[in-house]
Amino acid sequence: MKRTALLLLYIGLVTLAADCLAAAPAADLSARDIMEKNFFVTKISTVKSDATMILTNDKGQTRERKSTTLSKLQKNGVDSDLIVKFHTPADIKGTGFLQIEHSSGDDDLWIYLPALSKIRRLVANNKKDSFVGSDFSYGDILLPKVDLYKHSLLRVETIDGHDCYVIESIPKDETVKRDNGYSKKISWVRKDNFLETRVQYFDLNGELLKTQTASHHKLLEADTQRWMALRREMINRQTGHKTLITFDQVDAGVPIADDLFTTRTIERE
Amino acid sequence: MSKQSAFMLRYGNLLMRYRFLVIISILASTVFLGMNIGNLKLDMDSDLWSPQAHPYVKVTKQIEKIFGGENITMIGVVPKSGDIYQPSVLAKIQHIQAGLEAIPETVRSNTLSLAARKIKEIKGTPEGMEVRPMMETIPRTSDEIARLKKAIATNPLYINALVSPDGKAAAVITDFKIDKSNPSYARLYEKIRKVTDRERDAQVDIYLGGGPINMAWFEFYMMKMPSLFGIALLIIMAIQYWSFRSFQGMLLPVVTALLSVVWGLGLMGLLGVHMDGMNTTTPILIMAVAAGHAIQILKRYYEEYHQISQDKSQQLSPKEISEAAVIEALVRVGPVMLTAGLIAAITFFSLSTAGISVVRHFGVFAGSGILAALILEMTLIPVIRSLLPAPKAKEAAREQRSGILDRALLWLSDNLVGGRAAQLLAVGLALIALAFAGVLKLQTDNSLLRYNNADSEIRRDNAILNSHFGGTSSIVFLVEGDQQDSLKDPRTLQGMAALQTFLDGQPHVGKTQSIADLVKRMNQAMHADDPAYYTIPDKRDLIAQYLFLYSISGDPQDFDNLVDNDYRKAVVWVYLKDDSTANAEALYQKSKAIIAQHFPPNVHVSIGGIVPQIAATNEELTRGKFKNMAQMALIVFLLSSLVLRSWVGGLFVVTPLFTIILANFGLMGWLGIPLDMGTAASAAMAIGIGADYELYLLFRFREELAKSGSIVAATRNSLLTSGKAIIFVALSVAGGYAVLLTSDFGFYIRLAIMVITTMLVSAFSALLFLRAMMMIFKPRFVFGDQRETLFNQQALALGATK
Repeated sequence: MKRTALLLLYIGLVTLAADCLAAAPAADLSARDIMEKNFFVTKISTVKSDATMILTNDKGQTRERKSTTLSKLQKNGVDSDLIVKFHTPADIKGTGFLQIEHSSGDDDLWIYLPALSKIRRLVANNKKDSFVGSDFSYGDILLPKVDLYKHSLLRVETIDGHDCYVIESIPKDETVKRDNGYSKKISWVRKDNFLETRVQYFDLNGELLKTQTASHHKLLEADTQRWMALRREMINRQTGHKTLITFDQVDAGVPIADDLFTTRTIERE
Repeated sequence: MSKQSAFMLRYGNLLMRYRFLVIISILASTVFLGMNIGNLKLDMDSDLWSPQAHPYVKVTKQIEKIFGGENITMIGVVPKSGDIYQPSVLAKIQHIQAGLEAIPETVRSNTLSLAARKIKEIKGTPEGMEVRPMMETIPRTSDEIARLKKAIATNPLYINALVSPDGKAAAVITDFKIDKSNPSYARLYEKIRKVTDRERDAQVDIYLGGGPINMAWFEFYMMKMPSLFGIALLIIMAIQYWSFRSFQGMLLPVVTALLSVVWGLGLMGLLGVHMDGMNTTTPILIMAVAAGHAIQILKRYYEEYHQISQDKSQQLSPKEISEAAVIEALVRVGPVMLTAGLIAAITFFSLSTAGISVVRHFGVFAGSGILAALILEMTLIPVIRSLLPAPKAKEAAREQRSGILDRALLWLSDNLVGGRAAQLLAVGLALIALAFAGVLKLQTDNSLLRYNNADSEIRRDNAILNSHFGGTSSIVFLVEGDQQDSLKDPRTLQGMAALQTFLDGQPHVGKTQSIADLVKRMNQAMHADDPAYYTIPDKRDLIAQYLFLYSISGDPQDFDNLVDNDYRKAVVWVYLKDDSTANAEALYQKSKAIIAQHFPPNVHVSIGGIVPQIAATNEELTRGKFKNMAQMALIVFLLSSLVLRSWVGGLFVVTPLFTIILANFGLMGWLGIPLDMGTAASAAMAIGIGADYELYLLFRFREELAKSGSIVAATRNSLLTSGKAIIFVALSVAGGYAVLLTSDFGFYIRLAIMVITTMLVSAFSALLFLRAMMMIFKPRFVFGDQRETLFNQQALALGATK
């Protein structure tokens, strides 16, 4: 009888402990930890994707571009090399980009214009600048280092059936603020995969500037738990302009040679 | 007794019986209409001032819808010494940029300066191209400043637009989205001033220019109208006092005048017609006309009171005399008051078909005000007059006392009947011919900027901005292809470039801008900045790829003010040093040849912009004015013919009106006053109010002639009564408008000058011309079938006096 009682107690304790352990990631993760996981969750070693970008202005008029992107994570596990080839509209077909990301400085960027049949180096693009003329900035796509921001957990909220951490990120100093162009970001990060479903961006005057929704989350690397949102939409709340990027075809883990990321590649049809 | 008189008699008796009911109804109407004044919207929308159906205006609207620029404002920063390349001056530009961006109405994507994110330096290098914001941080060292100077020099797109060619001034150009339902430029101006005033100090001068600034100043001047209206009321009261020489005599016209204004404003509120910049002066017109009309009936009352009290055969108390005099005055003046008032109201209402909103509003407002005055004069005045204590003997005598006016009118009357009618007419005609010669000098000008005085702050600022930059006025060429991507066709871009080259060589043109400039600059940059490549490439795909490259180097809306989303429509902005419509028209006519020669046939080019809009307004005002005036004159002719039962009678009323209009336009020519929205309205007043004068005089003359059977007596009596009243009406209107002369706003001053002269000329014309014409042409509608006998008697009487 006594043993039964002890056993029950033991089971009870174990169950309790197990429950505690199960909840532990949530309880123990700081806002910074969550954002760090969020930072790395999209760092996929190699991806080949076909994407459609639809730009819609405040009058509802649209422009569409289709492109293929090859990307490979650099050895530092943070930066990527990218090649983008545009297919439509017809008059820019064959236009290619090569981008070597440097999170510590300006990225290297080359462009190939088929009508000029020349490679040209572009020197441009701060983190806050528009990413290929869209409503996304470079910093929205390739996230800045986690510790450049102070993060705090505001609350937990359910969005589209997923529990999300709602995290406020404030630039650490004026330089970060100026370089990225935001005074504040609020991210809804899914508890289950650490990929964001929604982000709000506030301008330097503290007003809501843009809202991003990221949906159709797809697990691309099971072992490292790397995810990708196949549909991302950014709406500029101040201009009414919006950009929708949908990934029509995504292949992760395709073998991509390191020496692919050269200017010669973007010249090839 | 005629049918009208019998009707008026019945009406008068009825009015006396239901006096209190009348007062209650009027009070109730006043409360009801007064409450509707709350619905009256002050509308500062600049669209009200231009004809929306005109092709130039339509193109402008289309351009504004696609490319923005509806409320372009320019802020010039001019260092008191040295050039703009000083860190503290550049910092001010950055602060103004940031300050403007923080104003909620600001269109951020159209807010441009060296500090704007959208303003990029395109730099060619041997290995490629660099696109960077022109001035992301304030340059501090001499090297950094030299770099900025060079960047500006190699990107000529910004010279003359954001930086003056000599580097002595920099501009921040911005645009605003104004809530069309309740536009207020004054509030916006305060916000802009808050941003610029922070930067104003001993080091720099800051100047403001552009449409919103013009509208804001207009609004400031409008805000002063209530106090001017108060002064106008005092002037009108003084004229009334002079006319009646008693407080009681003055009181009724003033009450009627104020109620008419309340009714007119209330009716506008009820009809949903907006109050605008031009019509803030219209209450003065209504007030003066209502007070003036009240004079006509009250003068008649005093006359009748005097007459009846002289008649000792009836033993009447003063109260009974007063009541009898009220009815008699109604019987005598009522029909003509109704006729004249209705004609005036209808002629003003006929303006509601005009193509320009402010003119339509003016028609409705003036028409309803006069209608209100008419109703009040036919009801309130007789009722109150009969309730007021009868005038004391002294008071009545004072009213009858003759003064300088009477002596002048007597002289005129003696000369008219003394056979000098022809000479008087000839002298009058000569004067009018002289005035009319001025028509040749008449200019039409509806520049909102030039509605301000030449020495006003806004025009001074504008002149300084024009001296440093491309110009604050603009013409915009809208280039439309027939399909998507037409603008990527090298021929279209080459056409735009050719048009710009031509325009840049023209006088008054300060700057041109288009997407062609960017394509040329890109081509040069992609060829290591070789100036030989500052051209439009021949390959369509290359152009498309340049544009793509630029669009991905910038923000999604960087091109929005140059080309539309589909690359089907684009604009060439042409900045002008002055807003002369004649120069703009000449420029457009000359450009047509260049357009025909250089653009492919499937591309259509049209014009819009500030200056063409002014041209459209001028054109509409000139063309529309003649249409409106012909329409008003026709109404006067038909209605006068009807009430006088004679086509000749209609002609007699209308003919002097033409002389008034000719004199009006001629005087404007001589005085150098342009035909604008306000001064054109004074011509409409000449018709509406001038006809009224003539009808009073004609009716009174016929009445006196019927009574006395003597032309001499009829002329004299009608001039001394109705003629005198006309002078007081004219003085009331002129005196009321005279307060606008004290305004600092040229538009109001010009309006005042023209209303004053028009009123004096039309009174003069009614008193002189109509009489002289009557004496010379001896029309049957005045003198009846016995006219030969009458004139023979007059000749005999004259012979006897000689």
